[in-house]
Amino acid sequence: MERLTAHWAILGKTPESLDDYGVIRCSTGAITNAEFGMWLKAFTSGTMEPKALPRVATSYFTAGPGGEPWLGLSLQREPDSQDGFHRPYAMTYYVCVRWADLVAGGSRVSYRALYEALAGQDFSGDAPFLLSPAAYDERRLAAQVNPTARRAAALLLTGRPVCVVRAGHLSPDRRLDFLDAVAALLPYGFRHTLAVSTWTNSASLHRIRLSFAEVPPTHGTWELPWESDERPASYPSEALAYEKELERYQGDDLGDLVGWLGTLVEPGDFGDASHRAAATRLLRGEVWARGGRSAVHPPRPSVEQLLRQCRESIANADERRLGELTTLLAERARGRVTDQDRRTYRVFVRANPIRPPERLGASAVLCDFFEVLLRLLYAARMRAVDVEEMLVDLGVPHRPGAAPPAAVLAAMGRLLPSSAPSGRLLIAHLRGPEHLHTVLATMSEDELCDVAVRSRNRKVLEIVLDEADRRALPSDPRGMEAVRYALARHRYLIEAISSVHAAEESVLRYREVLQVGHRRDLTGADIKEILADLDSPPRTFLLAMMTLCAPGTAPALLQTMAGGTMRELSLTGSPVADDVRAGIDRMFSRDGGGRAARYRRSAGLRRLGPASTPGKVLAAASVVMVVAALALWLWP
Amino acid sequence: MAETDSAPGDPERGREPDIAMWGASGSGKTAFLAALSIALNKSRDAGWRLIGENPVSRTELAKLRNTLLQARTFPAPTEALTYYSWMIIGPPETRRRWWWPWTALPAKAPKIKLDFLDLRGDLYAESESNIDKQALITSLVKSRGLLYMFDPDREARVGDAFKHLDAALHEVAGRMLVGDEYEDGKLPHYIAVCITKYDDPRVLRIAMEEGFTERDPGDELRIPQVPPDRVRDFFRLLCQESYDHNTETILDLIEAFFHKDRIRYFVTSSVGLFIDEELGRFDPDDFLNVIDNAGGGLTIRGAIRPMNVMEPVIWLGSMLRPGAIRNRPWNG
Ligand SMILES: Nc1nc2c(ncn2[C@@H]2O[C@H](COP(=O)(O)OP(=O)(O)O)[C@@H](O)[C@H]2O)c(=O)[nH]1
Ligand SMILES: [Mg+2]
Repeated sequence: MERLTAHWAILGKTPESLDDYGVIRCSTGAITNAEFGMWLKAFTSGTMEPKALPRVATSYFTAGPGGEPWLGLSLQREPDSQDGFHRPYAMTYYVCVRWADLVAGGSRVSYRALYEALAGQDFSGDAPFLLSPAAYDERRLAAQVNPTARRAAALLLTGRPVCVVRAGHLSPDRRLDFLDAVAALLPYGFRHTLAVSTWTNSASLHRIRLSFAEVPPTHGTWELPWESDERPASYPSEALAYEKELERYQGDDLGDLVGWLGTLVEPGDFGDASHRAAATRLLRGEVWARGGRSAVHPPRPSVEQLLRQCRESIANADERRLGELTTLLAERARGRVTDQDRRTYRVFVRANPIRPPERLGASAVLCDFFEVLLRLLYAARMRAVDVEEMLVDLGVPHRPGAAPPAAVLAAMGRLLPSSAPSGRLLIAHLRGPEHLHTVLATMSEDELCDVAVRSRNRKVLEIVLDEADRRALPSDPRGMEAVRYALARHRYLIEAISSVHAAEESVLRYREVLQVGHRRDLTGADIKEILADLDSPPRTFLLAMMTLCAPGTAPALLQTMAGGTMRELSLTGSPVADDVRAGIDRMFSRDGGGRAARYRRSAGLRRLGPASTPGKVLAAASVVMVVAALALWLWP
Repeated sequence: MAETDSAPGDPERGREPDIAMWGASGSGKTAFLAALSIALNKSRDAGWRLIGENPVSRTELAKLRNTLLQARTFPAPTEALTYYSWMIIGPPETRRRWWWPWTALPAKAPKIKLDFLDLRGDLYAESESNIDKQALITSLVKSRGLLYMFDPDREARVGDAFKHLDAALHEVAGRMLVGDEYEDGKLPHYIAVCITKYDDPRVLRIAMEEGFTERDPGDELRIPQVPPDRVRDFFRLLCQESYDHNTETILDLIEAFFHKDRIRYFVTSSVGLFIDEELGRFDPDDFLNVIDNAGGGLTIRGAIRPMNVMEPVIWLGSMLRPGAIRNRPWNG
């Protein structure tokens, strides 16, 4: 802080004096003795009481032809002499600085800094002082903030004075810090019309806006009990709003906020309702309308900070606080949250798991909290991956039987309607069979397959296949057909299965898909139908087909596969194609085409199985092996 | 609370003090108020009480009493305009119906609600640009009772009572008498002119030496009293003794501004004379009740027996609240 020119005065008496208090000595220059006298008396805190000394108070006034604003601070010391009526009297030491000087530099001055600068002066001579107050220490100020300070700041914005009671035990120092903290929770410009005092007498007519007192004045003042939870009767909404805004800031965030408020030096007048309203708007991050200044935004409490507090209140089962915090969090969730933000929050939650105690159960507040949390951590359209990640994030072990807390389930239920279909399925599944059934009932076979393909999620796939299995009853040919066509249209879920399963599992899954669609061994026609629209089926798929092919379908399989390959390679109709076909025919004829033809004729009539003779089994097996080897060789 | 834009400290609008204290610094205003509750309790007509009407006034009343009774000293110099809302409760009075006077109605205690305004005496002389001064004048204009404290000792030393009173009277008169409301050209207030510190030897000696004192035959303590009909003359005499010659005209000044029948003179002492309990009566050689203590301050030596502290207040009370109290000896 640069040096500040301070004018000064001493209000008191001289020993043996028969007069009332008056200005004993003062600096010369900008402010006259009479002006000092008037303003010092005008800002009296009431008749001194020994137990309330030393007393520190602030005041403001204008002086000079231009009505220049000043801000002053006074210290009333314990009495050490007596007047002409033998009454002990207390001297008041006063310094005042031009408001313009106060806000000119980059750094602000706190009441404490001004007080300490005053205490270092000897009040002699008649020259103004050059003060070097300590720099504005927002961390220290923030550390003094308690709920009473927040409420006091909020109540001041109603325009009525605030009187803190039941604080007689606090030292004058602590009281001064409190007053400073309250002022620090308002835009700095409001100090322009803020008179505070570490002690006032409520029977006295005084102009102190914020003070401590034994009892509050009878009228027009807010009585604020020290560190008490009870809200004043008829607590106005504007004050409540400001208090809530302030509550969002804790720890370092609060320091940042205080620092930011310190930059708002536009003079504010508590007597002016529009200024007071502007302060609230300002804290909410809405534009400061006056002077056409550009929008300024308060630093926001970090979401992590809020989450930490939520976590704490959940652990303490403090539902009231949790409710308040949830409101704040909800605001944040409604604002712009980038994917990067969401990731950061998720990492935070994962590192700081939230474990609601049993007794909270699925209380409405807790459900609200989780709903807001989920909205904040994941985009509103929850997908299956999100749901799964959420379970991991929330520390729900991802294994069967380990259910998420009831409140989380309930919160997920609320998110269900806005979720993506895959998310919907998974949420419903987590919430229980009846929920799942309700969701599934609204989905067509096509939609089911679509979800499975898009989500590429193991669990979703499982759910879809189970459902398909349930719908494709052999006794219900139409149902079966619907399922089969849907599967065919969705390439037998190849995209989903191949991306979530390894080789062996894939084969088993494809087999399931094929079984659900056909409910029998695959005939040559089936094979043709399946492979007809399928470009480049994965090898695992082909293997699955082979596990289901009916006896005698080897030629059909091989031919279909060969045909497909040649189609893909645009070889259809070429001499090579003929060669291939001839080759395949030769493969299946031990003694010319007749055998092959006979074999083909019997296709579909004979079944692979224990009923066959060992020789035939052997032959068939070798044929299958050959076909498989070829197929795998041929197919890219 | 609809009034949200009021400046801090604005007294409740529409409610101004009934009785304002008037008098220079140190004339004994605050001490008088502090003695009031003691005086009421000690009155011969036992059963009077003073209570605070709200928490603030109750707290302040207790502080003032404790200063005298426990700390046995005087209140600190007043720094600000101070408002007290007090209620004086009298002894229950039996009442009878005028048309059936043979059976008594249930007894009823008179209650007078009085708001007092105490202040630092200098304020009356300060310039009108002063914010507190404006509040004071507003209060004076609205109040109807004045307790004017005249400190003979101070007058003998500084002699600024006239200056103070003159300035203040002209201020109030300037506000109230320019219109047509008070056609007779006098202020509407009742004013109790109180000579304070009667116990102070410098005051008591004059009274005794100049032959103003009498003994009430019914008074076992045999305290010299100035009879009510001689107080005005005593006051005139004291004014003549003043350091400042203008003071002589104070009485004329008061009587010029107020209706004669609304002025009453009292000789008062907040702490009363010292009475040696063993002797059991007034001793002209040992009546000093306020003595210097080791710390350089003052200590009240013996029992506190306020003199004529209750009387001016009850008189003002009965004038301001006619009907609250029925005729009493001090009413005339
Ligand atoms: N002896 C005596 N001294 C008094 C009495 N009342 C007041 N004083 C003295 O006068 C001083 C000033 O009284 P105070 O009530 O403070 O005067 P104020 O400035 O008019 O309020 C006190 O400190 C006492 O020393 C009284 O009844 N008797
Ligand atoms: Mg006083």
